[in-house]
Amino acid sequence: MFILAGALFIALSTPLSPGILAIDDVVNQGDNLSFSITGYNSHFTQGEDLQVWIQSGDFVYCSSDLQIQDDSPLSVRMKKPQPLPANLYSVLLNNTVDGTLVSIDGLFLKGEAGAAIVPPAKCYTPITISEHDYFSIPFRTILYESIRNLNFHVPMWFSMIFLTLLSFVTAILFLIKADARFDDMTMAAIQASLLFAACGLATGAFWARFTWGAFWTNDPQLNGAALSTLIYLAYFLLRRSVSDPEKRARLSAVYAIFAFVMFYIFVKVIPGMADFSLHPDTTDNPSFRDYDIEGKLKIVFRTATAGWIVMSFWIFSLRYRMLQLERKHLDR
Amino acid sequence: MPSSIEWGLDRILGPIQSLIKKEFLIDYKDRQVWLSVLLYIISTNYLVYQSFQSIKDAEIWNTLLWIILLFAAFNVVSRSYDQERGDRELYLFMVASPQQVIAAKMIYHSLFMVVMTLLSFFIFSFFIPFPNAIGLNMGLYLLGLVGGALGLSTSLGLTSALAWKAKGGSGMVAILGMPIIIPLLISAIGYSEGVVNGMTWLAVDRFAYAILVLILLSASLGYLLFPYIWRD
Repeated sequence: MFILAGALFIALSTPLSPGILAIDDVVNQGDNLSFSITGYNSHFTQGEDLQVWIQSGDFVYCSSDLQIQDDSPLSVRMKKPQPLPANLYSVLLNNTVDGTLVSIDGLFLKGEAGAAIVPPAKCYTPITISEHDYFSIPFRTILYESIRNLNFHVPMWFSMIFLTLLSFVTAILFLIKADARFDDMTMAAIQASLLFAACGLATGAFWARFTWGAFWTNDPQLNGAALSTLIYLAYFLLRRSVSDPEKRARLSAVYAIFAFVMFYIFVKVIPGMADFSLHPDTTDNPSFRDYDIEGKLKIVFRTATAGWIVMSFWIFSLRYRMLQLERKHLDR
Repeated sequence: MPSSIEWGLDRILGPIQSLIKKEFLIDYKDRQVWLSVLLYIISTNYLVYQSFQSIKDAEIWNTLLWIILLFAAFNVVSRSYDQERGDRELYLFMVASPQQVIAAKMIYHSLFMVVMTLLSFFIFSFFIPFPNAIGLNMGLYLLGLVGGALGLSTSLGLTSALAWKAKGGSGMVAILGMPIIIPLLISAIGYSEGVVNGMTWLAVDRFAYAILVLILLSASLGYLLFPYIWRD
């Protein structure tokens, strides 16, 4: 419990690494190019050796005449030696506090007459290790602060899979041993797993709204999650419709086993078969591992996952003890 | 004197054969189940024809056919335990083991479902011609239909047994079976959509293997778990 609380405190309180939010007010006239950079958690004016350059593939163009007007947004004016070809340019920025920040393809320039590609010039020195080396969460465009949700949304589903696995095992044990305690365990595990499914759907919906633009998308993993929730809701319906307790336990154990196998296929096999998914680490999408270059995210994430699973087991055991008490009360 | 292996196989398969024959004879005598499924197929196909007249998009054609087949499967399978009531049920489990009963039911209803699927395919094509008939690889498409029909009937086999024992009727089959049938339906629609779009076997084989795995899984789960269901 304390591990979970600690991990979640760190997950919510540590600042994001500095990054570039937006490039605006682009003016591209004559040999002058100016734009403003809105930073996030950044320290543009505190750091020394501020450098700004734009980059597109091999093409690198440094600012020869850098004029800084404000801190945020940072106003940049640069002189161009020659007309620039139409392209998406990445804007890079250096200083001794923030290190090197990148806005990938953040700047679009319309082409100009007489534009030619110039060979890369060595005109900057990237600062890889900056002064601020404190604990921080990686900065990603689109995700921004919502990257913290990684420590909530993903472990919810891990916990749900853990609880459904538990219900699968206890249902098998019930059929073998015919002991009513296992039936209570299956029931408790499925109830707790539905709680986690609801939390997983809620956190997922918020995250999807923020990053993909809608609360619900037609994603294979979302279909799997929704349908497996339906399966387990049908489990309760089956229980309600049988009045004899012994028969109810037997039928629902059979359904729980069948449901788990199908649930596993929903969540694991079917999304793997799809051509397209929005979720990370499926089909050809990058994984969160790729963002987490320094492995800082991993430490918090693993602790949070372990904490949530222990928490889910705790909720399961509470519910199980409640069912046991109810049974004792009924027997008397 | 037959050898012991033959005798053993005969002991397992013999009752299954006679149980399948029993299912067939009861349905043949009664014909109520056959006629009701047939009526369902014809009337739904006609309804789709009346509402669409003609379909130009091959994917919509394919999806509509699968939805008709899905509900046909519910119609077929939810009837599978209608006759097993009271004394007849008691007698059935005195003469045969529960595994033999479920195996016979699944095999009979799979065959029934395959026949109904092919029939539905022909009736649907009769009313609404397939939009892109020249480019269609008929062999692959029919293979998908047969595989999907087998999958629908085996996946619903266990749920219909559960619904029978829960005394929930056909509504219960739909509630318990609908979420469970979806992965099979996704795979089947994915497979046949690939085929109607002119893809080769190599592009759709993953769906075919998924259907095969689902058939084997639900058949073996039904075989293993049915002994726990039938007792009252």
